[in-house]
Amino acid sequence: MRAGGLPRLVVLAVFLAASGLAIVGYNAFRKDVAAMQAASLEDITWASYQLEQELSRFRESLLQFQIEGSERNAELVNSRFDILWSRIAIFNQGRIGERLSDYDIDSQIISRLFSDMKVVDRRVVELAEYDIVEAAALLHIFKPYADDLRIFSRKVTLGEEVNGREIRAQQQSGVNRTLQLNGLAIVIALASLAYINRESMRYKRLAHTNRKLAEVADQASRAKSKFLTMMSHELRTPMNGVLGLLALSKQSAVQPSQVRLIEQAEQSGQQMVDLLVDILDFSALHSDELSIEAKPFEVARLAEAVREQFAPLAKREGVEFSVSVSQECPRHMLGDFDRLRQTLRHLVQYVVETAGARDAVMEFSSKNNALLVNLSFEYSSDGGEWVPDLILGEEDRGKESFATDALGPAIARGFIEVMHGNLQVEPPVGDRIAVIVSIPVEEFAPTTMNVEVLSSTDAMAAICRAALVGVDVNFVQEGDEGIVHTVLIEAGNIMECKYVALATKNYPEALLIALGEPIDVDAFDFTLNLPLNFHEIRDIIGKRVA
Amino acid sequence: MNSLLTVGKQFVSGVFVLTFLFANSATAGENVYLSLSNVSDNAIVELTEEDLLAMEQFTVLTENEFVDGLVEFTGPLARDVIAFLNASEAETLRFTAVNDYAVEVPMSDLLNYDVIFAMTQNGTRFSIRDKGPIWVIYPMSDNVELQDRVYNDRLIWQLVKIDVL
Repeated sequence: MRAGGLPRLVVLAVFLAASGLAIVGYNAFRKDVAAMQAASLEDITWASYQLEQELSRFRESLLQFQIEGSERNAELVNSRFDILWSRIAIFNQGRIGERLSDYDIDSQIISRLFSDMKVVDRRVVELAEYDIVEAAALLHIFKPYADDLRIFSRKVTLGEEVNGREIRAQQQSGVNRTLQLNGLAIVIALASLAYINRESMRYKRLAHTNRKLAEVADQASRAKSKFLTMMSHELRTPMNGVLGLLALSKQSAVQPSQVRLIEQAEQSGQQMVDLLVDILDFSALHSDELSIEAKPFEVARLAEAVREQFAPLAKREGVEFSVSVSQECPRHMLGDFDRLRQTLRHLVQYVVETAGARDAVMEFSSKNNALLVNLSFEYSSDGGEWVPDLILGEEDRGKESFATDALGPAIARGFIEVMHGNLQVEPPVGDRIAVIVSIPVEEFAPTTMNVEVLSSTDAMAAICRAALVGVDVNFVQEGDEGIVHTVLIEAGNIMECKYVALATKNYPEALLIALGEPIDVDAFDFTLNLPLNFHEIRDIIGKRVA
Repeated sequence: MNSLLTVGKQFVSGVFVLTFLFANSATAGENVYLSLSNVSDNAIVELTEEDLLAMEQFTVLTENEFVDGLVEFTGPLARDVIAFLNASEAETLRFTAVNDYAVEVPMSDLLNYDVIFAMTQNGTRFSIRDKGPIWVIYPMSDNVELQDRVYNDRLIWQLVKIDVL
C-alpha cells in the first residue's frame, strides 16, 4: 500500500463506519418510535372494558324488562342491544379491531358472543310487552358471557401490560444502543481527528522541508546562472580584444595565405562571441531577468534584418533563402524588435544549419493582433537531422542532458514565451515542413513629427538625426514642404540669434528647443543643457505633436 | 324541508338560530338526531336527520385506527353545526354518545381543522350498530399532527349530544 493512499482510505473507512452507525441508529430509533406510536394511539384496554360494560347494561335492561315489562323498556333493551352490537363490530375493522381480535384467537369469546347475538337478533327486535319468559331466556343465554368478558378484559389488560413492558424494554434497549452508537461514533471521530491532525503535522513538516530544499536548489541555480553570466561577460571581453587584433592584423602587409588563416580565426572567434551571447540570453531567460519592450518598429525592417543576416549563411550552405511581408500586414507594430530578430535568427539558423533544409521561405503576416511568421522549408534527410521536438522543447523537457544543437531553439522558445507568443510545427505536407511563430503585438499608426535641426556644424545635426531616428521622427530641411513641429537650435554661440530669427519667421507655430545654454533664454520654449538627453527631447516633441 | 326543532326552556339567542326557528315549526321529541345546548344562554337546539342532511355536506378522505385503509366520510362541518348555538366565544365542548360516553373537545379543533359530523362512510349511511348516527371525524391523513392518541380519543361515535361548557 502506498503511504499517500492511507489517509484517503482511512477517511473513507471512517466515513463509511460513521454512515453505517448513523443508518443503524436511525432505523432502530424509527422502529422504536413507530412501535411506541402504534401502541399509544388507542387504549384497547378501555375498549374491552366498554364491551364488558355494554353487556352488563344490556343484561340490566333485560332484567328491568323482565320485572317491569312495558314498551319503553323493550325499546331500551333494543337500544342497549344495538350499542353492544356496535362495540363488537369494531373487532372486525382497523388496527384496533386487529389488536383486540388477537386476544380472542384462543378463547373465541367474542366470536361466540357475536354468533349468539346474531341468532337472537330477531327475538330481541320482536320482544313483546310483558314477554317475561323470553326475557328470562335471553338473560340465560348472555349470563355466561359476563364472566367470559371479564376474563377477556383481564386478558387484554395483562397482554397490554406485557406489550407495554416490551415496548419500554425496547425503548430502553434503543436508548442504550443509541448511546453506544453515539459513543462509538464519537470515539471514531476523535480517533480520526487525532490521526488527521498527526498527518497534517507530518505534511506541514514535509512542506517545510520541501520549501527549504526548493530554496536551496533555487539559490544554487541562481548562483550557477550568475556564474554563467559572469563568465560569459569575462570571456567576451578578451574575445573582442582578440577579434580586434585579428582585424588589425589583416590591415597590415600579410601574405594572402596568412589572410585566410586570420579570417578563419576571425570566424571562429565570432562564433565564440555569438555562443557567449546565446549563453547570456539563456541564463537571463532562466533567471527571469529578461525584460520585453514595446516600441514601434517596421515589419519590413525586421524582415530585411533577418534576410541580411542569413543571406551569406544560406549561400554558403547552398540553401535558397527568401523573406517576404504580406500586403495585408500592417507596416508598423509595437513590439520588441531586437527580441523578435533574435528569435527568428535562432529558428532560421537551426533550420538552415542543422535541420537539413533545401530551401527556406519566411513570410511575415498578421492576424488578430498577432505577428505571424511562417518559416517553411523542404526537408532533406541527406542534409541534416530535423527533430521537431527540439523546436517544441519536448525532447529536453524533464531531461538532465541538453543537446548541443538545442540551445538556439531553446532560446527562441524562451523569447516567444516571454513575449506571450506561441510556437508550433505544422504537420508535414510531403517533404515540406512549416514552423509557425505567433507573437501578440499591437498595430501602430505612427504620428510623424517633422523636425529641423539648425546648427553651425554638421556633427550636431548628425548626432540629433542618429539619436532621434525612428518611425515617428521625420527630419526636414529648409525649403521642404509641410509643417515643421519642432526646431532644434544649437544655442550659446554667435549663430543662435540668426537661427532663432529664421525659425520664428519660417515656422511661427514650431517649438523652439535650445541645445545647450542659450544667450537669450526667452527666445526658446525649452532649454536642454549639455550633455543632451534625447529621451527628453523625444517626449517634448511627442507632447507638442499630440 | 321536513325538519323539526324543539325550543327548550328559553328561546335561543342568535340571529341565525332565530331565523332557523321561525322557518321551521318544531315538535318536541320527534326523531331528534343531535341535541345542542349552551348552558350560559339556556339555549337548546335539536336537529333532525333532515336538518343535518340539508346542511352543506363536506367530504373527508382519511384513515384512522378504526377503519381499514383510506375511507371517504361525508357530513356537515362541525363548526357549521355548532354555529346554531352562537357559541363562537366558547372554548370547550362536551360531546356525548348514546351510551353516555363523553369527551371534551376544544373549540379550536373545529376552527383549525375541517372536523365533520360524518353520517356516511364510503357513501353508506351509518347505522346505530356501526357508529351511527353520527361519527366525529378528524382529517388525520392530511394533518400528521392529528395522528395522536389525544385526537384519537375525540373520534367519538354514536354522537347524540353536544354541550357548550
